[in-house]
Amino acid sequence: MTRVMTKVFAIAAVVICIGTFVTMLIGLINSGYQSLSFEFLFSSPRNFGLEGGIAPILISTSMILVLAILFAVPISMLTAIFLFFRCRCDTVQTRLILTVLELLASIPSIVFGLFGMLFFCDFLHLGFSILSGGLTLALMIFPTLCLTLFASFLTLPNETRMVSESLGLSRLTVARHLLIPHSISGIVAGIVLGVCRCVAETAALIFTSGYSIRQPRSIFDSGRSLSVHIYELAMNVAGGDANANAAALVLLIVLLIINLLIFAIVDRQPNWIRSANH
Amino acid sequence: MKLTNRYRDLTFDVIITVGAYFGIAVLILILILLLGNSFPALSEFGLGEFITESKWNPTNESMPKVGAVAMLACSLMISIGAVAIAFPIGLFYLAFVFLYSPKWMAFLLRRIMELVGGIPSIVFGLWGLITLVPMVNQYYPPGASMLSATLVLALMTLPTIIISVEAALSSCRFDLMLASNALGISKESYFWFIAIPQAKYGMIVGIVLSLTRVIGETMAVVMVSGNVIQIPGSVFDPIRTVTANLALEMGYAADIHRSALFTIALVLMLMIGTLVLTLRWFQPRSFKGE
Repeated sequence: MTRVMTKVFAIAAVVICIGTFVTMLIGLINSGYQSLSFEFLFSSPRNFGLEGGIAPILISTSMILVLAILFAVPISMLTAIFLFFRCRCDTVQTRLILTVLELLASIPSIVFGLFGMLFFCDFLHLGFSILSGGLTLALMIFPTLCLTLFASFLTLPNETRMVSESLGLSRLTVARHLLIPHSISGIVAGIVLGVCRCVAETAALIFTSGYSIRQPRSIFDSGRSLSVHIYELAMNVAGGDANANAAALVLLIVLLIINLLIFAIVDRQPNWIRSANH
Repeated sequence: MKLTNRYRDLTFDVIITVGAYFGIAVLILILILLLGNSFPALSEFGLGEFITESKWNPTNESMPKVGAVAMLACSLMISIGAVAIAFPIGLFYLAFVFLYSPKWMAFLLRRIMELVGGIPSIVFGLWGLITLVPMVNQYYPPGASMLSATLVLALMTLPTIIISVEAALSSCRFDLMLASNALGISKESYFWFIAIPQAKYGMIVGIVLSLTRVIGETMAVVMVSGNVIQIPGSVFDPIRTVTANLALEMGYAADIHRSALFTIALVLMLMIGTLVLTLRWFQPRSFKGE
């Protein structure tokens, strides 16, 4: 009885899952592909985005992304290296830092958005700008990135570590010449996953990088990211559905490319990278 | 190349230690700023009103009400509902992956879930808004309802649950599988009675973590839930969650209204933080990044 039921339900579950996602994808492609064209990618939006394309939005999205990665990677690297050197002595300090990272990772993105608004926009007087958005996203991906980097550092064989210590190598040397080269594919995969999360983020950006649809001239200008553009078109612009779908399609294609990139890297890596990021 | 240098090593130590405390500084800063900004509302109404009153009307001149009970209840209900729908489906999906599919298919099914896990919430929201809401609307208007929100969230959290439960299941002991094979136990019985009890802890972690994700989800919920602040009478009533309220009202809120919004953000954060800390409390020692 168990055998038959399990088989029936298992097949049903797979059919439901795959079926729903395929229907979803087909629906999106169906309603989005007419608006999707070369011109859509490379022209400015007109009439609140009902006509025209998404060129300035793609530019502000990439600016936000680059800033977020630029700020998040070095600081996560430092924390991860620290944890690597201290993790074997299970002290209050390391436990505290790990717990705080887990807490930070669980904070909803909208709360990060509010924090970014209070701290970067108001307190540091950056206003609604691409810089505020990038910094907020950097804080948002920082904890996950840290834990991913830490997990990838832990794959360094214990013998290597012991030998390096017995030789009296300095920590800087160990980090530069052993740790980072050894776990480079894990580091890259972690960063790429961070990029994915940044591209997908909406809630943290509404109150930090703003809605401006114009071409940003510097990082102190306000700029609308692609996901915010989809939200605006779908919710606040009547009849914006077609272009929202087209923009969503662009977003999905970008993410698909990034994901294929990860698969190419992660295939040579154990399971932890994926599990650390979900 | 000089490999040892006491002075440089010390500098490096200081730098990484400072880096390590960055996270703690950020958490404290978030708490201070949220507390500071919610202070006016907290001192005027007290925390009690936020967690006992269900009416939300902070802009009313004479009788402002800032009860968050309806929104908190909706947040919890749809999150738990979504996980309750997604978990069994995910478990059977994994049963298929582990028990019945050949190697290439198992690989493909895992990859598909990882790909789907990367789909942004805004795309799920858009799909819900354009496809699911009109579908529900045909039978039970208005369509944008608790049901739609729960279904969209269930769909969103499915990959997360599948990936974390899969990680828990594949860390099971291999010798037990060999032993159960030798005893002639069917693979289904092995899956339900040996693998799952073993992976129980990892599964609970996965479920709670995806629950925290779902509670914090904003954009998809804003787009499909109808955004009426109430305790729903049925699953077809429109609702508004805490996160949706923050996203919708923060743009124009001022004074006490704004402060009240920061207070409910704080309440939300404390709720999720408590969940995570409870989970960590029960975590076996060997699990912590060793």
